Amino acid sequence: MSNHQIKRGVSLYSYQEEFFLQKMSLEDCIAAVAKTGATGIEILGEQSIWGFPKLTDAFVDQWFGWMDKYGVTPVCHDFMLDYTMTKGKYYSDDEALQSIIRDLKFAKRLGFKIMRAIVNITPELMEKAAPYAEEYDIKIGIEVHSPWHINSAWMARHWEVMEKTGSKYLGFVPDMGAFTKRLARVQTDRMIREGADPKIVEFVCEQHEKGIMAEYIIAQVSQMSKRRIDIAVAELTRHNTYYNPIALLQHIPRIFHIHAKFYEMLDDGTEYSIPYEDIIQILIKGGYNGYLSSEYEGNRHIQDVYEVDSVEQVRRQQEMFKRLLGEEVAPNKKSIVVQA
Amino acid sequence: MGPLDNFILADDALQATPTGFTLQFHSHWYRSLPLSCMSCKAIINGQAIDESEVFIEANGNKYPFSEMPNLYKEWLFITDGARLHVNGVEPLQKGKQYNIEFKLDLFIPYILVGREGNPLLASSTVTKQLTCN
Repeated sequence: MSNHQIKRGVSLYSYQEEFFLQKMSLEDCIAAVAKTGATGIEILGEQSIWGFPKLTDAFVDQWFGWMDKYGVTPVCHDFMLDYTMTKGKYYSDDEALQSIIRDLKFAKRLGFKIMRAIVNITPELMEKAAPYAEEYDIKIGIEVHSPWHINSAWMARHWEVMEKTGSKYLGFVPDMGAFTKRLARVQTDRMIREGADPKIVEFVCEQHEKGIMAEYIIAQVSQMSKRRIDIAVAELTRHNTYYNPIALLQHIPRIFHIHAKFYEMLDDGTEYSIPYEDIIQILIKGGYNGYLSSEYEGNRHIQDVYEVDSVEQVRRQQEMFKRLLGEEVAPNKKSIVVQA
Repeated sequence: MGPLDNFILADDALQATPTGFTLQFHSHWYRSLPLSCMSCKAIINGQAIDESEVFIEANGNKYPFSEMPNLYKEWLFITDGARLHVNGVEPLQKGKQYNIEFKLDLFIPYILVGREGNPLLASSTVTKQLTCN
């Protein structure tokens, strides 16, 4: 008997490389999710659906046909706010709201129950969106994305709106990239290939792991090197932050969905940067009952030297989740990616 | 700068036409963008092309190049290419190699940066020897 109700899903964002190169179709991506044993599907409309936000009846039929065929469920559509599509012109609040309503209609038609709001959405706009979220019966969660964490001032303002409105349709979608304990090795390795000083990379990684603030690391590296690439390594610490995941605990009832960001699954079934062992313990303890949705983002750091295998990376992360969630685990395959 | 830099120009991107040539490009961003969020510059064998003689085509629709900043309704899906139609130049020879330098600037409309709140600029320049088809 399981002691939790956490479900597993995959964001099709994870397969972006193969999808872009047309090695995998949309159906192939959905089939790959099902093959891992995950049941939840997450998409970004602008990435996965040709013609977004328009949907034809034929496509909608095919979509639900795929859901049945592969035994998966639409869970989350990630929406953006394209504030400025022509130079010098910005969305008014009303235009931004219309964009959200457009996405609610899109998500509703494809059976999604949650939408992830982009992190820079204002609390005021979330408040305006709440009645529409209720009308369409789709929960909207702001993405808690590094460098913010769930207790940041920006998220506290959002929390106040959630409390003020009392809406059960407003909440959070934490991205696990906000728990980057170690900088992604695939990323720093690529920067070394592009000319970064390995000693500076080592220094930055050590400092980050010790929890030194990004601005101090950047200031120190600026004393050590004047090269742009070396400073860029130090600047990684600004957007790859770590905050104790215990902070999630008090917000569990407001957490609708989780972006299980990852960069590199190792042969031993662990992720290099993000402490999923700790995170999942906290989610179980807090009674989280939504999806852990794989979000692979390592492709962009290895594509210059290796053929990207997003399917295998996602499979490994899902196997890790099975292990940490107390499900039966399939035997591990040996790595096909050799570290530089 | 973009997750898909390597794939902006495919090997068969360059084609001869009776009035010049076409060059097909792909976006290097992970999601689709409208043409108004893109700007590009092509240099062929060291010669910049005269933009007044260029048209841009996406989804079967063709516009004067100068119209690009206004094309917020013409979206380029990530698996689709857009095509520059370059006229008024000596037609290229099929089978011959040309050096193409292509700069693609993407203005990411949902990531506003800096004090001015400008869209994030994701710029990529690729240089490739392409055989004209």
